[in-house]
Amino acid sequence: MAKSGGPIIEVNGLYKRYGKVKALRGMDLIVPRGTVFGFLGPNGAGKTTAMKILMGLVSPTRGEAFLFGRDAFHAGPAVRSRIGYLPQDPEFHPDRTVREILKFAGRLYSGGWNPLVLRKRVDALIEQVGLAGKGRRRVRALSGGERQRLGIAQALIGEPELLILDEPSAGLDPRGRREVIDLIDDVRQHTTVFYSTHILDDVQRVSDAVAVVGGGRMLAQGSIGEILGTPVGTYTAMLRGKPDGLRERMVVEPWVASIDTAKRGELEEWTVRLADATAAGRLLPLLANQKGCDVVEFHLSDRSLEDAYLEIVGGLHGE
Amino acid sequence: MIPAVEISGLRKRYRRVEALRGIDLVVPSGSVFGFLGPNGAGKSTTMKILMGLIRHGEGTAHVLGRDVRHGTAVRAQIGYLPQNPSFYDRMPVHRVLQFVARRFMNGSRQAINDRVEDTLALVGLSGKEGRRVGDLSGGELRRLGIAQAYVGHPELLILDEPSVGLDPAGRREVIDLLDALRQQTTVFYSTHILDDVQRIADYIAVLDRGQIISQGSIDEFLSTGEASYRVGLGGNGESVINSLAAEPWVATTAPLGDGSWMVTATDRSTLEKQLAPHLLAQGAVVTEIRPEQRSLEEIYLEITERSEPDEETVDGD
Amino acid sequence: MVTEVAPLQSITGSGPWRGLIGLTGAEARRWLPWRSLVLVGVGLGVLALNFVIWRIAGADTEVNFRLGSLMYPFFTLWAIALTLATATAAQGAVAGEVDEGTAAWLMGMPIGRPAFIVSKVLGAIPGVLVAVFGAGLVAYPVLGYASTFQIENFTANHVFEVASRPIGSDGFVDLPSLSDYLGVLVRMSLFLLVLVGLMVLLGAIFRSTAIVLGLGVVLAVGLFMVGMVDIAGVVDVTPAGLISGLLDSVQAEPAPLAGPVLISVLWILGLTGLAVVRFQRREL
Repeated sequence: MAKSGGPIIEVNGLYKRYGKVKALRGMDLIVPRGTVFGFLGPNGAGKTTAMKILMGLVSPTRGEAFLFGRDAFHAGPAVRSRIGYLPQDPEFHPDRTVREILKFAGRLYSGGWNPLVLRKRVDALIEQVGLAGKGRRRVRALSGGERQRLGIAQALIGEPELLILDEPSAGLDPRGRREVIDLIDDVRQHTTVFYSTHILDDVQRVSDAVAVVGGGRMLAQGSIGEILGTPVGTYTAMLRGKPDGLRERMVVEPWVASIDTAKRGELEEWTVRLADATAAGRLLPLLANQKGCDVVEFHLSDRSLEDAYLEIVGGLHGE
Repeated sequence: MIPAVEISGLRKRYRRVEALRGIDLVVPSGSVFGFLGPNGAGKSTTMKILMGLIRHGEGTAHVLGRDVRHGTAVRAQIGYLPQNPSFYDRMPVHRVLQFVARRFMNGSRQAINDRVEDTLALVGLSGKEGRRVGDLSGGELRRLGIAQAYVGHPELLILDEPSVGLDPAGRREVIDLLDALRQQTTVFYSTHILDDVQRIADYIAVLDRGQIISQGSIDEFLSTGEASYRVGLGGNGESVINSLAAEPWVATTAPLGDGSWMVTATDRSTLEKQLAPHLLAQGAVVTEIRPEQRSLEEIYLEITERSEPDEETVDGD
Repeated sequence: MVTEVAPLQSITGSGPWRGLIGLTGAEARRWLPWRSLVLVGVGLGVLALNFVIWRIAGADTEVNFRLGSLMYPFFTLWAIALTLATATAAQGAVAGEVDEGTAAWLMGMPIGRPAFIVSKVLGAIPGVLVAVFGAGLVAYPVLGYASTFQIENFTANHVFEVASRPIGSDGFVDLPSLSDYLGVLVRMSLFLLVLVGLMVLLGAIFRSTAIVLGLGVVLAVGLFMVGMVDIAGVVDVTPAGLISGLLDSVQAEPAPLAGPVLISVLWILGLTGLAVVRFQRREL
């Protein structure tokens, strides 16, 4: 076994072109061992290509990629058997049952030849991914969420050290998505999870670190905290009622840089950027003294991962 | 004002499956209305009934005061984006929009072209008008879908999962677009991205297994349960908090450390009125007043049961 | 937002026929030009194939092949080819659109369902006419000149001599008059439109495109065979009369035109009407 100290995935200057299209233009990536790592970026940014290269399904035009410290393209079955992979749109034979699919996958891994061991492992996995009682269901009778969990179970059957999931929650409803997130949370103790998704609120819930790619390059990488940064002098207030003339009274203040308002149900959301952060104490009194409205909420503006992401991806366009 | 959509006691049965089991729904005119629910709950079915694409059983459905069985007259007021929209693959984008626009409006070629151009600009497809539908990416196809729904400037937009399959930037564009349209039209749309709904919807309804299990304004949804507020004070806030505890509209106060306290209300609306003025009157430096809100997603997950879908999914496809 | 040129007016009229003109135009553009040109190509291909067969057969049998024997196989082959090609093309009209979901898109607009169905038949008319007359008008002089060749006498001089004769002069044995020939093409076009009506009706009834195509082809070929063997009684009341009349005319035998045309128009109206009724209740 390779040494366990280094990163589990390391990619340097990876290039890939399909004909005229440059899918990857020198991508770098480091996934530390033991993390739940979100791999983010617009459609067409090269996420799926990078994952396929790691899985040895396509070969790169240039650059290097290491899994467990070994060259990913020349990695033999010994390395592959330590990885579980869920492709973007997993296809299972519609007439096979859940149990049949898992057994078939399980035979490919060490110990899988032993029917007793295999059976135990399949039973445990069916339980773990929440498909208990559905072992005999055919794939065609599974819901989208169940299919996706079967895909994850199939990726987990070899008890992998690394799980690579390409959009595991695409097309799922909120409950299905939550189930996938909970499942990822479940396996994090034993397994590094490297997954791509577009649902950034989910990423914020479960991931330790993220990488944002765009145009085939790495744009930003770090812990969620690092990506979010620290909030500065922008405040959000929720007002109930009609704040007539408030904007006029505020814009003349020298310490107010900009004001944005938006309707949020019955409330109005005011986002105020301060030119002078030390003037923060003067903002609430100004709002609270306004006739005809109440301040229901007041705090530094939250920055969601989605906001940070959109800033990073910024000028790039997904298409 | 006549509601944009008014449904009462609506039922729909496909051969063996009862897709809708008597739903009541009112979409107020001028609102952005989020229609939520698990896959297979019957959202697409409801929308298709409104569009006259399928017939319903018992119950009634009215759009802008007209029975949906009145066909073309009803649909002349609605722009619709189906769940998996398909347009003529070989038609260029601008021709699709011209075609749709002419179904809704009469006018000179120039006027129609202007409308099409404006609509393309609105959804960010300018410069791609000559592309064939079949050559568009998934995101572009969604935008074309929204464009063709809006090109006739309908009074009601019915959008079935307008942001499915989009990346975050694409989703944000859709959200901003719906937000911008709220002055012009009523938006009735379904989605699974509840954080987006929380951002822009005025009202929501949750459908589960053919029944509306909850419906109301977004504020009503989010303010269910105990009303607690996180209050952050600069300097020595202890005395201010103590004075707060004496007020009748405050139930409890508890320190959270680092200059923050949790304040729960006996009466939410009074507290919302009084809290900020009270704190300021005490000379406090307030850094934060934040309702401890559960997210829409958490509330949603609580009220929808863990579903065991039928063998056949009746919704969508 | 709109820079006002002349303001757009909302269409206020409603009813089952709303959208008919626009849809018919869109449907016509799905036939023209490419689909029709392909069908013209099919006709010209059959024409070429016909000569290959004629050349081989003629060399073998020493029969002096002349027009009757040339026209008949061409029209038989051509009609069968067009029957199959049109059935396949028209299968997409309703069944295909429902299957792909474009029908749901269209019916979500203020468009009457009857207008959708009728536009499928109306929109096919220009395309079918181009397909039939495009190849048919090429075939007339080609077959005409070819008929005057003596096959045992196939030299350059002979070709020049034949080419210099005006169409219809003495050497053109048994060539139907141009007006008779146009009657043939009218029959052919009408038969294909009956098929379009048939495919539209099947599409309005069945969900599966495979069933629509399979059943449509079987019925179309069946109708063709009935016309070809000229089953008395049946040809009088069905569009099969078009086929039997068509095959008679190309052999310069007199055949009635008005009767079968009238019957077929009634059939098209009937098939379309039934399709309208069926489609009204269809769930999309």
